[in-house]
Amino acid sequence: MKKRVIAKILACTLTLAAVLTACGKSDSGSNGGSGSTGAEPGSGEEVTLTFSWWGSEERHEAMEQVAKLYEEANEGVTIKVEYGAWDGWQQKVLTQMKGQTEPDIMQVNYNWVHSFGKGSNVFYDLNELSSLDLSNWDADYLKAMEVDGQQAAVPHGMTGRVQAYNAALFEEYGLEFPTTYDEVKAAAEIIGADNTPTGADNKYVLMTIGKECPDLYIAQMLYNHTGKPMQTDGKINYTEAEVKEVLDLYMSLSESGAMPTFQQEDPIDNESNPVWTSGRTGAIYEWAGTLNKYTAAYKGGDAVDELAIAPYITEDGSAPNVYVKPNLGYAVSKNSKNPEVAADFINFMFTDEEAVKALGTNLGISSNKVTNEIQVKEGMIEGKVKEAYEVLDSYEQTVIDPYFEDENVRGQRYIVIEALRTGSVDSTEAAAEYISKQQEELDKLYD
Amino acid sequence: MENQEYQKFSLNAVIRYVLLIAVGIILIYPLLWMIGSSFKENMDIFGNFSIFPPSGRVMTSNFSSAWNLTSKHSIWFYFGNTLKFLIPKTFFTVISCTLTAYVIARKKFRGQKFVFTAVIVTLLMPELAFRIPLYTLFTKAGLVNTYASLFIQDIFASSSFFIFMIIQFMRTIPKQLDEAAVIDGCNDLQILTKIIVPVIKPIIITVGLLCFMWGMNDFQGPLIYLTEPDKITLSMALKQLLDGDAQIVYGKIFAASCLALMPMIALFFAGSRYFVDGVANTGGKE
Amino acid sequence: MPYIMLAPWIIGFLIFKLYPIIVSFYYSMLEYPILGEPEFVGLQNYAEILTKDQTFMKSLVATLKYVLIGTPAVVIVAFFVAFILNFKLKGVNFFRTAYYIPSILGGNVAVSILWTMLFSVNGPINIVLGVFGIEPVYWTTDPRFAVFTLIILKTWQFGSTMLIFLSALQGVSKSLYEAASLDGATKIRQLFSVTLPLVTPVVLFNAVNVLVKAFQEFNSAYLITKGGPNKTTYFLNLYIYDSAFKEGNYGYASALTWILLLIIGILTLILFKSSDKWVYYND
Repeated sequence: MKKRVIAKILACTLTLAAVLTACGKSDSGSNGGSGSTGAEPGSGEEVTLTFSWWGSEERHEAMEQVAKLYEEANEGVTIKVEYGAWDGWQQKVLTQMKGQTEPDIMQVNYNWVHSFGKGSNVFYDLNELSSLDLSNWDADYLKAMEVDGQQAAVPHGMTGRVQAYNAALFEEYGLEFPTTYDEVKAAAEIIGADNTPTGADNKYVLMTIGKECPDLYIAQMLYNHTGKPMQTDGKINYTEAEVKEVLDLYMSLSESGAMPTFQQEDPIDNESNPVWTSGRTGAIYEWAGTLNKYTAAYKGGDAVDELAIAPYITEDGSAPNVYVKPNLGYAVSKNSKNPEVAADFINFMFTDEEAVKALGTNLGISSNKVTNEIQVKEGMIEGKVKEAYEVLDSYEQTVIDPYFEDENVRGQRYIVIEALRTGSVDSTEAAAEYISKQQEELDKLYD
Repeated sequence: MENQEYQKFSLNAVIRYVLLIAVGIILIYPLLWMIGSSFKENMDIFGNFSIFPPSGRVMTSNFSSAWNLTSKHSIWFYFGNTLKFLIPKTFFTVISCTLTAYVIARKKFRGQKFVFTAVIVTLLMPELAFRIPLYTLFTKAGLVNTYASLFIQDIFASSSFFIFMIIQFMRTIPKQLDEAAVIDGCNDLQILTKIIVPVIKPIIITVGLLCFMWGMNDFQGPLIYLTEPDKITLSMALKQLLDGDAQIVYGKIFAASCLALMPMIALFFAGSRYFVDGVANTGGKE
Repeated sequence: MPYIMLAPWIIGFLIFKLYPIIVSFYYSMLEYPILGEPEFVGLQNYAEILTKDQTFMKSLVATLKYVLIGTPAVVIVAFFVAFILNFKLKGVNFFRTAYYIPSILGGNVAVSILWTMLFSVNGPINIVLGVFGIEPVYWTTDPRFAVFTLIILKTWQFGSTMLIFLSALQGVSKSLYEAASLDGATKIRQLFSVTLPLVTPVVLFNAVNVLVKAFQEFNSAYLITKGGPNKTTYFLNLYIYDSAFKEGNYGYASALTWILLLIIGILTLILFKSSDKWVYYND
């Protein structure tokens, strides 16, 4: 009797499970709605859109303002907003997309665009929506967010890492900012002369703060060293010998005292890093778009004039080809009932003067030509961020490949770099794994 | 002879107090540090263990900016949001878990072992395992963006932890009590409410307190189920202060955390008085 | 009659536990990119985890270290403190609250910052160790020691375990102590012969719970050591989360969850089976 009851319960639950899972699987494949793109923008029809983003309080206020402006300009449209902090946001969006309840318009991170669908587009193809004027963007920048031939999202702006440096520190020692690695090590001997392994007052020539930073720095070094980007069509472009040379060079920087070793690094891996804020490091390597955080944190924000943007350091002092990437983008949901209006909203965000003004610099400098013009006209681009972009634009740029930031691929690089820096592996082993482990993950994405 | 014992007792007490206070200070030092750091600028927080900010650089604005957490609402608005799901959750948890524990601990029925094993096994499963299937289920039931989604499970005794806990405590009470009550003509429910609950009152209060405290800190649940900005809970609102695209003002985060902690500490302090009462009702075996 | 009182639990179990469990088990046998089409692959995920996945091995070691050292630490400290606080002391309420505060602070940002500061190379912990002639330890950056910072954090947060022990100790009838006293037992003897045996069901409960919670630890590793260095604090729960939401491999993450569940189950079973020897139930 007991066994029968249990069997019955199990049977019911299994059926329930099967039914519900089957119901949930009816997604993906073709673009939502084959042909029907919902209401026409400006038609006055009653439309409700949901719009989500992540960010800080200032960004939330700015974005809500933009939503209001659109509602005022477009009768009948209501925009419901959803927002939160970055921490956990990816999980939230993924869960929503899995349940097909994601918002019509979403702010997306660069690596979501390709990695979410692992090569196929999980968003609406923006090429099919006429309300969004794609010609305002550089073709190269658009391509960064193109997946499987479809335009998955549009980038807000491009960003790259720059070396913001503390000119005051170099002046103190009568040094020029180094342009080659040899010069860096020479400077280290002077600046870091009093450094000790556990010294609380150590001074460094440059620092790569956090986890992402060393990875990008090494990747840039590899690009400079070989002239080839990380991967092309799914194949890593480097030989083990090449990677070993670069890893050795990178490690020699901390060995010479120019950079902190893994043990010497302060655990605070953002702009509040005490070595940076107290002026004990020459340079940091950070995104141009968010440089304001670092300039504001430096010495409590009172000494911004001591800072400058340095030209990039290379092995022989020549000008490198610099990696850039979209800082964030906007996509329309595949399941949206009114994709045209959604696209129109995105277009509004970029081209309406009031909207751009309301956004201010909360999303950074835009690479959309119209947006950029307005930003320049309103004097929104200024200070160190302006300098940073000027420096960035004076170099040849290459857009980072779409899977560079894929968590599976990037995760393998992080593991290798950390193992190398903690001394668990030597540079030969590290070089071999750097290539083989990444290749393994890339193979899964390119099959 | 008595004098000696009395002296020994004093010394004992003094040592005990000194130890307790010393250990107590170590334990609450982080809280004091956090409170003190709410008055500090960012650069005075890192690397600085002192509870007090350096004179001349005291930031008094953190608490007021933390009080008005977002431009739209004060921190207490979000606290209220948390209460909207937490109070029902605690209420239902206490009732359903006590009821369920009583049946498992006290009643003989077919499948008792199975049920107990099921409770233990579900205790072991990390929440992550349930998350996505339940999200899909809740979406179909139209529960997304409701506070109900955050406490509906507790109407059905979903917390294996608390069920297990109450079972273990119930098992420390001798069955003779039940038997005596049956002789007096009580039915199951009366035994539960009149005999057992009073005895394990400290436990019930503990369950309530723990459920409440853990619920306050829960972030993942509200993150997924609440979408409207005006509905978000305190834990989510606090996380927003940490966002990486703007400069993080740690003092404000600490100030907000302090404010958020105050109700919890007050609640705990109030609730812990019941333990004293509990001592007096140790089950009539005198 | 019992079934009626059990009804809420039964409903809850079927809908909120059994259903997701079955679905999750089914998912574990799929190659399931989180937003893509699932593909049935049978036990391939499990095979890959157990044979090829180096991260899993490191994660498992990290988790086991944390659980097997942390659990006894917490239970012993919690019991000891509860015992001391069980006496009629002046201001006992204040002490109880103070001792519980670390648990309330939980995954607080302030705590994680303070913790990294405390364990930094020039921090107070190393200074204290220096007094005993021990060389400074690179706590958070040395793969050998990072996990201990988290174990110490967990031990510091003994509050809820202590609370539960306190409830149990309060239930031990005073008359038993008096009787033992009359028989000439010292306080220590009373502890081991009267108190301990009577609260063993609660010891078991706390041991199981601390064990299970430790296996599911996420926040502290996420905030303080971020799983490093070299994955020595990359607890399984962290790996599962990343697998599902960062790497987007939902089938794989489900399989990892089941393996974690199996491991927890085995250890809990051992604990339960052993309890027949040392737990005394009053009913």
